[in-house]
Amino acid sequence: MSEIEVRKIESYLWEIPKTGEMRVPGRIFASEELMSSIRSDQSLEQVRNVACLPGVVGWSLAMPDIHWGYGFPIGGVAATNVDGGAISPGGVGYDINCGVRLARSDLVLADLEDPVRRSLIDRLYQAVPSGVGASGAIPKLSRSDLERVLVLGARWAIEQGYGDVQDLEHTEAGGRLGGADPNCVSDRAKQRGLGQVGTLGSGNHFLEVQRVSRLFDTTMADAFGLFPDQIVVMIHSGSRGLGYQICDDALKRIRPRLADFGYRLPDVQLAAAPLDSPDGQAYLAAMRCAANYAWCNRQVMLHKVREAFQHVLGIGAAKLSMRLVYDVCHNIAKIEEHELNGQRMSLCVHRKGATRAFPAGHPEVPPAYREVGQPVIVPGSMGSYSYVCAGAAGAMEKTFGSTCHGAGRKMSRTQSKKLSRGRDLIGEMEERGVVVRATGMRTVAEEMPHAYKDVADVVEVMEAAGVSHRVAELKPIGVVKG
Amino acid sequence: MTPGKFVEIDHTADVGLDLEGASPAEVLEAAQRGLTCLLMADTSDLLSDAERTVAVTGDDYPELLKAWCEELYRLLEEEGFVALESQVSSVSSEGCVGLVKGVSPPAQRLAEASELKAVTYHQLAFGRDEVAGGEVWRARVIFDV
Repeated sequence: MSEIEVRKIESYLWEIPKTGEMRVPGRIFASEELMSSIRSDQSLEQVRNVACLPGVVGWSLAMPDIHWGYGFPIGGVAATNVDGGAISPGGVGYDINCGVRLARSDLVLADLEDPVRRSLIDRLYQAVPSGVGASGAIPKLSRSDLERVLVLGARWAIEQGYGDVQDLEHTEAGGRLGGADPNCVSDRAKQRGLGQVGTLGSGNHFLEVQRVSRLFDTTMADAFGLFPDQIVVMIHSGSRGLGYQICDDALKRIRPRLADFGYRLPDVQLAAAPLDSPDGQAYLAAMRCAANYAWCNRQVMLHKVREAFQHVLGIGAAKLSMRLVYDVCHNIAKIEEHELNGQRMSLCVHRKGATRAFPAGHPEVPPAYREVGQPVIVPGSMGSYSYVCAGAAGAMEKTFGSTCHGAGRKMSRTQSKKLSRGRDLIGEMEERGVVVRATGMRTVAEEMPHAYKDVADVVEVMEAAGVSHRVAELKPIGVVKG
Repeated sequence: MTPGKFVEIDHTADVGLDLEGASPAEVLEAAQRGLTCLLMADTSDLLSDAERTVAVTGDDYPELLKAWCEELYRLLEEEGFVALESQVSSVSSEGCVGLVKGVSPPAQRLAEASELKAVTYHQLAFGRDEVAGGEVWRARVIFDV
């Protein structure tokens, strides 16, 4: 149980006062019930530690799905001043640009009755490789193609015929961050990335076929192309081995140099470099390569999903009409303009397990959504439900344009496995109406719904705080797990 | 000699190991067994039929532990080789060499392995403690999964 002093300052907002080495206070968005779960691990200590980062401004923030990570908490947001502030690879995490994309279709639940549904999930399981070191979704890249992926991101996939250009318009940052420099990526990272484009991975990554089970805002849902009982697909994955390696390379390089930078940090995993230093700039350029790789990865998976649907249902692309609603990243550091205390500032916003949530009218929101706000995809636990939300005005005032990214774990993997022992997990999911195909039962045991908070509680907090707005609830009918 | 021990740590999002042994070599060998257990769960159906020499370096003992675990995972991810037992023949704070015995199971069996994103620096520790009647080496390592 955490002994950190936390005081409630608004109905859904708590503060860790600035003490000791903290440069800013900590702020946690949570209900009473969620706060009780948050106190049970070391995540509040991590919120406090992040507040010690050089150049951090405003607050060290935690979304309601916060849980104990390494260095940064998962569900953490911290903005550092571009002028003299730090960039922290640990503030992004190993899975750089881990994110979620949601695609809508013209299908309804009745189109996927068994045995069609089961055939579809089997086909998806085959089409999108998952598990350790999975590869082979598309032919292994040449070195030169990989370097183009690192620079072009999802655009490379479109150029190869894996999707269409409209997909890019509905991807955060257009599926490509500028300033990516493959020369800053190690050979080892490149080697790991050659064969993994179009693969899901393992752990909490998944591919779900879902139905729209509830609409909260029909105007926004209409803008996002969503309607009741509609079939949609959600993909959760990231930059695979390439991204993990880039983070690890940066930590190895930066860690021994902390004293040179004059940095004293409470956790080595928070290792950071001045953003304007050669080390900071090299990490930023490499991180952007990984971000681009992840967007390309999810784009290729979407293409494979479209092919699988068309094959199993025997329909063409026009009838399927599977269009990307949006693709968001939730592990990233981005240079953004924000207003703080009445002052316009250029900030490096670290989102680790947090989603960008720009409101209506923001120039980076795609034209199709500019009147309603950026879609925010918030997956729940396997077999429960997920949410589509939209960014709201409060996000720019309170969270550097960020909101929650998922349900958030409340139970360790070890505990979850113990609770799952001896149970027919696949059978239980079937009873919930969900067909599961997984490479290993261990992951299923670790990812059962009992291990997670209720995502409904999480999105409700962010709505009450005026940060993001619920648009639709999605319930899974089939899951592919790594 | 009593072999080193490993205990899986309760960590909300990730997984980790607490390790203990009479020497640094025992701790590294325990790390191999613990890591294989985390990655593969049950290996009772697997028998060693090949071996690899693993040599890694590090600036200190914690770095060495991280490098050792990373190399064992690389064998799994890149070569499909599951380490089932290990014997560390030389170890100092700067490097170690070990003989790892294991097997490359069929792809379907290998697919059941858990993926590791990274061996993290979070709470990474490896050092000697004085205890009644001698010394014990303890370590902690947390993996991002």
